[in-house]
Amino acid sequence: MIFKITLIFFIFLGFLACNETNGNSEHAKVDSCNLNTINPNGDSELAILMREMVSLTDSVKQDLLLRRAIRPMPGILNSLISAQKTDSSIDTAIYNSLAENYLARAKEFYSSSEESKVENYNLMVGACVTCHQNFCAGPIKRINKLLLK
Amino acid sequence: MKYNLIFSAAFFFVLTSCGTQKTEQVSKYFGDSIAQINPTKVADVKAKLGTKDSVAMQVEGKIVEVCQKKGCWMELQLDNSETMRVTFKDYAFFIPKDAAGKTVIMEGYAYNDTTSVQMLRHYAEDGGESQAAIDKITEPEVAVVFEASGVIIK
Repeated sequence: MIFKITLIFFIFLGFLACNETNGNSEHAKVDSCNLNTINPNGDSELAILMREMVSLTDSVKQDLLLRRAIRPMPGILNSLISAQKTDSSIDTAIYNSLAENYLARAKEFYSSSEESKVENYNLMVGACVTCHQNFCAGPIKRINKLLLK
Repeated sequence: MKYNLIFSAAFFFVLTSCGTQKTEQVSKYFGDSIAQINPTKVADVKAKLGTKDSVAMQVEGKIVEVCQKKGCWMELQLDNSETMRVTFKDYAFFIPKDAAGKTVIMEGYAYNDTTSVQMLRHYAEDGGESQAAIDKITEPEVAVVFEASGVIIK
């Protein structure tokens, strides 16, 4: 009797292990197909903010193209200077001054009249490019797509 | 004796059930999915591009260098002397910084491009080059480059 119980226990354990293995396999498959992975190396606060800024600016561009009302300036932009950077060596007076320049352009855009909105929008996007020309040129191609022709 | 054999078989079953998955290698996908995999060897990219401005293709090759800041670009060995820089469409995804040496399949566009001195210096900085090496970059580079919309790292 003890032998039978022990044997059943082992077989149960074996099936459990099998199921767990299959479960892991499925999990691994899901992980490997996770197309939402943006940066497998981890993100800094500034990198996350930059992506939010691209998304926000893209939606502002659509609003301008469709002549929809522009929402107020998002508060998250104010963390542009204080956000932790991917590369701490860019945390310099030059970065701060370029970030302040962007914020000034953004404030101008969000408070501008209907007639000057597009021009001020392009100046705001141009401020992004200017900063990236100095610090991280990689996303410039993407940023240029935000400009309104 | 009979019981010992049955116990041994049960033990073996449990142990092999636990051990099979852990050694399996999993491909990692980044960016857009690649529906049907039918890649060109990286050594054939230049010939396939020919004199065209750009050609959409899938390419398979070996990663020789990855951006060490963020994983935002990689280089593939094109032939014995040349590498091909790969960037990721719209800066929308990155790859692991430790992917050098691995095989990659990617989908996107190969094209001839002139890379400015500013960008070349940026890439050199990301690649961990010394300031002296970065300062030596004074000429733009004309080369075959690739913009990938999706990547599979094996």
